[in-house]
Amino acid sequence: MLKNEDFIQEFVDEARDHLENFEQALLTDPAELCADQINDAFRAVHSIKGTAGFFGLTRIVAIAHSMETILDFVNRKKIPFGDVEIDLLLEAKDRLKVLVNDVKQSETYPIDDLLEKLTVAEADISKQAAIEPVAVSEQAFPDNTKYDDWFDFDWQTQEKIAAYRKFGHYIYAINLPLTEQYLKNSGGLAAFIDNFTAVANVILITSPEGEPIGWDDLAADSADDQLVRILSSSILEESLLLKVLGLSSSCITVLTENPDTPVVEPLRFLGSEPDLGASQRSDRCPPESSEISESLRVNIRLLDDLMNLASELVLGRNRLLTLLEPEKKRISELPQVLQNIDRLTSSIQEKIMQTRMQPIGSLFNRYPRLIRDLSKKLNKKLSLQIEGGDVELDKSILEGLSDPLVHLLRNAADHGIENAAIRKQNGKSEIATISLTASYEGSVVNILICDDGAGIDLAKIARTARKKKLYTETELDQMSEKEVLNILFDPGFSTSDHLSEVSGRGIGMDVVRTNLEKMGGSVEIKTQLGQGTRIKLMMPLTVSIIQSLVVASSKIKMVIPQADVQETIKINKESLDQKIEAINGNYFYRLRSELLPVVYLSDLWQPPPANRILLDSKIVVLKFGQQRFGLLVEALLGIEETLIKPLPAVLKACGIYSGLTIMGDGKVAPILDIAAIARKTALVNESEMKSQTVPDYPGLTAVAGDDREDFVLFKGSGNETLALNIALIKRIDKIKKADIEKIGDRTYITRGGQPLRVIRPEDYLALNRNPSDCDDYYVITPKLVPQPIGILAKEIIENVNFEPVIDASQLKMDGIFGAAVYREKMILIINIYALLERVEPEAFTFIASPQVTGCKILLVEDSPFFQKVEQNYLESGGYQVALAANGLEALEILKHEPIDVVLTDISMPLLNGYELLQRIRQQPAYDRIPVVAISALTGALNREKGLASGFDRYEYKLDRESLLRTLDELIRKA
Amino acid sequence: MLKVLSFKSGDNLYGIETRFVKEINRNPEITSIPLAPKTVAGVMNLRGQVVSLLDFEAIMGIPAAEEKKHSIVLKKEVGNPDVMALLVEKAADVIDVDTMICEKPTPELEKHYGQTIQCIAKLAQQLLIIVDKEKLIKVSEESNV
Repeated sequence: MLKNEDFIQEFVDEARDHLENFEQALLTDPAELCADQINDAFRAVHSIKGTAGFFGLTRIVAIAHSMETILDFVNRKKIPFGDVEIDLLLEAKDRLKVLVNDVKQSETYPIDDLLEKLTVAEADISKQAAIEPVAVSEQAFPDNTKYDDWFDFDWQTQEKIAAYRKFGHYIYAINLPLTEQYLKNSGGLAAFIDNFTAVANVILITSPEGEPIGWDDLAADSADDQLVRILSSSILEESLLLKVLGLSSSCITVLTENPDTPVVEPLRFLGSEPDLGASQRSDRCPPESSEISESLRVNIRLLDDLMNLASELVLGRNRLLTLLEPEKKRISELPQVLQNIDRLTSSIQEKIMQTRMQPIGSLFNRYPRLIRDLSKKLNKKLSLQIEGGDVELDKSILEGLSDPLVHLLRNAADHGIENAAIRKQNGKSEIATISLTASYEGSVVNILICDDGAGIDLAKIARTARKKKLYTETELDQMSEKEVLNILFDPGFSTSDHLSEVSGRGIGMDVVRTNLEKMGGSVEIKTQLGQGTRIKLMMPLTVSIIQSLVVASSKIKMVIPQADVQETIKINKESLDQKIEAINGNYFYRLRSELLPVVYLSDLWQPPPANRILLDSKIVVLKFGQQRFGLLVEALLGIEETLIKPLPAVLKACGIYSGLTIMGDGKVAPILDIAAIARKTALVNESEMKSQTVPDYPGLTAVAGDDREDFVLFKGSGNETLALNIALIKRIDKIKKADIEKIGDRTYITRGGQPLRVIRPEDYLALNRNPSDCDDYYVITPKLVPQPIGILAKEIIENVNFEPVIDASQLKMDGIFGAAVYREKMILIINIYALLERVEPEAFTFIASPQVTGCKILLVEDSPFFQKVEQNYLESGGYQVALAANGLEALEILKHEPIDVVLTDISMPLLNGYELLQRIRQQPAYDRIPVVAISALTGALNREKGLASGFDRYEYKLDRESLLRTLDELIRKA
Repeated sequence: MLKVLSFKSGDNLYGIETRFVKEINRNPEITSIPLAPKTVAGVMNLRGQVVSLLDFEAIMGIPAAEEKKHSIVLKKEVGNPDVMALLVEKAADVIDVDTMICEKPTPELEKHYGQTIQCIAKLAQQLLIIVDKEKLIKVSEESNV
């Protein structure tokens, strides 16, 4: 059973602080480690020892005492501190922490092993001390016997001294000349006595003659210049005590422990001695207690409760405001009262949130130790630089950051930093730097973890991913650097060749990301091979209450965190140029000429209704990292302050919510998890589409539902504007000129650890060329090509949507479908297959069978552009082509011309592809004619639907190779 | 002696021991959550606390006959931060059940109800099917996956 158990929690809190300070002091760069730091460390353990003695925690006292002894030697004797000692002291500190954390059981912990080590160190260090000059050692062991004349060290006094020592007090013999001047400076005798008893406990007061006297005698005997000798104990160190009392050092002597003095059981003394209160008080005061403390220790549970109550208050207020809104007109004072309550509630909540804010430094300060330990374990020289420790974050976020940061720092030290030899070879400083920086950015805190190590080897990630079969070859080939880096966040992914003690234990970056996202944060990696890695964490300042946008779809209310919302757009139903457009089953909206991928909110949980465009007419533009996408909703219901409630376990599997909230009307609504939705719908990709805000020409976009196609306009090195159909583009990336490597007469870039051949279209087409280089290039990666390849563009102009009126007769050029005029400019539309055939003829392995030559294909296609494209494909395969713009025309042609295969688009005016198929199949005469559907939709669903309706084959419009192969096969079969 | 809160579903009478029950909520305002598993009827606000409503009939695999009007809010379990409630057709009386009149469910019933039945009490008027709360929660969680 512990003594004074009521205060034990305070002891624990205080001891934890002291231990933190202790560690911080010891982790100062050894070169700068000076008396001050050692003093700090000393004071910290000293205080712990003192208070622990008060509680009778003998084991804590024992450890602290040993630590103190070592520090004392170092401090007083100027014995240089070795790494070994620091390690040992840190180890002891860790053990103390364990004991303090489990204070009630601390007496049961075995500590002998540690004490033994400490004793050995003590012995070592005292041996060193003995070699030191005699003068110093004399000072350390002053002759106590000298004071026998001053004081009567009887057993009672001895007992008191021993007890105070147990508390960690120093015992002072003070020779105090109570001169008039001194008393005047102290503000009179009474003030002096008050002051003295506040910092020290009087054991004995004697006159110069050695007679014991009391304070009262002093007051009575007001003779000038009287000398008193005071034997007292104080928690304060000599220098501080001198300062507090305003004395010169010659007046005070510290009495050291006499090894012969029997150790007195302190508890007996504590039980009987009324002075106990004073000693406890002085123990509590930190050494700097002369400053008035402006802070107060409050139990964190109380704060949590307060915050919950404040949150409830906010919700109550919201509800009240909603309920009383209609009454505002009837009761004249109501608006003012409501406004006041509204304001007060917000302030209360804000202030309470503030109480939970803590400087991130309290977290950062744990890491010098970590880095130091890692440095030893990994045998690397590491230095940790910390900046922005004063940035404040909500306590719960700070706690949540602890593990991810440990993980990231470990990674940096273990995987990131090369060993010293390699660093030297590469011309780097042997000492590696890891920096930890926090800074504000709006309502977000950015935390950077940077190292100057080897950087992340993308090729290695790709190799590992390949080995583990996480992605297919083609997927990996086409990944951008960012995407490859993102593999690091895949569950269970580790590139580490071995499981080291430090990291690479399988719990990896995915856990880091999940933890951060749980708190509303996100993470981003940048790396440069050989230069280092930078990991950026973006965290919200607080969690629990957020501003959010309430939306509704299909009558269900949902909440979007305002931080994720960039803007909201109402689509004008009348206006045709403000519409949602579909490409391959994906929806897009043209937001100031930028193509914004959008998703219908209700599509996330129900099949799309037929007429929804009329309902879902508001776009919430969301930002997700660097990217944006839109969420189409039925209604925007306003902005509310919402309290985040954790998502019940039973709803976790839904996969699109981050939490729940109670709204102003008292109903519960789910909070949408934007990151999860983005991932789920695969709306965002890593390509950096450059967008320019070019106003749409109203005249050219007036006609809707026409034959317009989406193109990306770009420029090569020449001045021609080139265009490529968006349906043919997989991605566009921005690269630096330095990324382009020349091997032989070919150029390559590295993507996902793999070389990707890149070409300049002007090298293969009859275009202008401008040899002057620029720094940035774009790489356009086309889809559906036999060999991955990139097209280098100097500039991506914009995404446009127009009807290409192709006049091939005026411009006959290989690799170009033709020219079109857009905004009075001539645009060359690239025939990607013809271009690539010129670049890499060997990649196009398909050779048409001889019997197909001259066969006639009926091409049914309403889009003039695609008509042109497909006709070109077919003719290149040796076919004759009959053209029809819709199903009816096709039926006409079938009547008059012998046709080998019908190739039909699905969506066409007058008679669509399905209807055409039906009509053809109704006529036995056409039985033997295969009908192939071609579509701009690549999805598997469409293919199944197409095949289910009776088409012989289903092909993607722009995939030339596949199309020709299919036709070949069908004709040979026939 | 068991203290059992009885509730109705269709023609049958079910019961749950009152030691698991915190309170009964009549006509709760339910927010249904899209994409939620079918055993979860939705969530509701109980004096500032979010309560997950488990659809009793869906968990038991018995057809829903009538509108479910009452929710039986369960006591919080240690270590589980979520508050759960059973959404039932109609909560009825608290009955003192003598364990002497209780019987283990027949294998047939066990098969049908997936072992969620603790026992069957042979009350004078009607059989009372007492459910096993732990198993019930477990089944609802398993159907979640």
